[in-house]
Amino acid sequence: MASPRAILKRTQSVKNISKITKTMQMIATAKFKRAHDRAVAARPYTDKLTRLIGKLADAAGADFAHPLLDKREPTKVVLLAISSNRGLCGGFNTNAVKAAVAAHKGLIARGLEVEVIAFGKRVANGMRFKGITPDQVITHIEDKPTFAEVDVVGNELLERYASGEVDEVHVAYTKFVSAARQHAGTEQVLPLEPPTDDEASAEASTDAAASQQNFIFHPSAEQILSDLLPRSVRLHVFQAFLDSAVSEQTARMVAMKSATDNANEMIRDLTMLYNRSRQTQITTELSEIIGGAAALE
Amino acid sequence: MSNTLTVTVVTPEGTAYEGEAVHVVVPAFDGEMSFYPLHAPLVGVLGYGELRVARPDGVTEYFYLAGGVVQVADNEVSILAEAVMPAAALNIADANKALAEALASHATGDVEIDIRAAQTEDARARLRAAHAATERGQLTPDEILDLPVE
Repeated sequence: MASPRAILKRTQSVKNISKITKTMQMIATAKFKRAHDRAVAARPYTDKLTRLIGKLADAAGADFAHPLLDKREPTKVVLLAISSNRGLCGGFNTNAVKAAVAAHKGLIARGLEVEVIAFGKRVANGMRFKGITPDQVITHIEDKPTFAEVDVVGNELLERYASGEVDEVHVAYTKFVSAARQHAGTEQVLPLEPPTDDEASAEASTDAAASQQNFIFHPSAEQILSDLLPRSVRLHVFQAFLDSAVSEQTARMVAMKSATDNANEMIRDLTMLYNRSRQTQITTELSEIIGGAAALE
Repeated sequence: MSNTLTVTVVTPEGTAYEGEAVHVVVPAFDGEMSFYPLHAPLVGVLGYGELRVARPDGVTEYFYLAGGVVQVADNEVSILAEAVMPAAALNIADANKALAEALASHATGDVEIDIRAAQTEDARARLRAAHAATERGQLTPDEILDLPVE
């Protein structure tokens, strides 16, 4: 058995680690709250935009065409891989990398030229480890993505898509479903799926009266739709960043909670071990003294 | 029905404004549009400019909008915008600088010309709104000193 002193030393170091993980857990909880608020704050905008696009698509008719809806024979695609700059958040980065690598493999299998833009050091390193070198690594978008920051990315993609340089854009990120469930997966950003009234009508059926109204379109349904579609693309990208940020904090919260729990359990075990080893030492010393005294008689 | 409008201004980063109004003026892409209660349902594209919300208590709120969409239905005015700020947060000096930068930028190609035009328009509208805010006395005098030489 190890000496009591050595065990004491280990207990102390485990205690220190548990202090750190506990603090990280608390920080992650606070950040999660803020990130979650931001993700929720974006929702009214998303809902309204989706509903409006559905309504307009209805008004514009089935023969409405827009460059962002065109399905071209793809040759070059862009894959956005979103995760974080920091580790210590459980399976978050691993899963994000896995999703990005799987998406990459799928695109390569279709015989396409893939450009990877990695957001976050972790996903960049993870992909490099799997033999995929990201063409661009962006690390300045941290856990509080602002629309202005992300918009730069969205605008650039739209421009490159419009010029025909890029034919498809996919994004691999961790979707935030609920505090207990996050799902790493891939979505297609461009070209857009043709807007249908179906998605919106599910919600809109409740305000059926509103959808029955004849709207005045200023200038025209087609032109408004052309103005809105790029917005919805940029929003989609922004939403991905927001979701990823919330998922990261949740994952870290859970990971740090279990780390703290494990540390506490270890402290308990070590304390018990320490007591036992101290008792053994005392017993040994006592029996030595008694043995020595008996030998003198 | 009521004789007020419910105004909501939402951005991707959250709801920027929500409240009742008796009269709303929005910057449409081709000039200002205004709504009173019981306005016919309308969907319109917005440009750069000032959003004015006249509240039932007689106070008028001023915002600066940089493009978006407005939807009016059932006495509800929903504005989807990518950037909104209170007019009092504008700054003549900043707007002037933005305008000078936009004008100085050298545009080649269709896309860049469009971008330059949009930036110029944004800066001009900002400047206009800032001057209007100054006239209302919402901006402090030291900002007025930076009046542009046009």
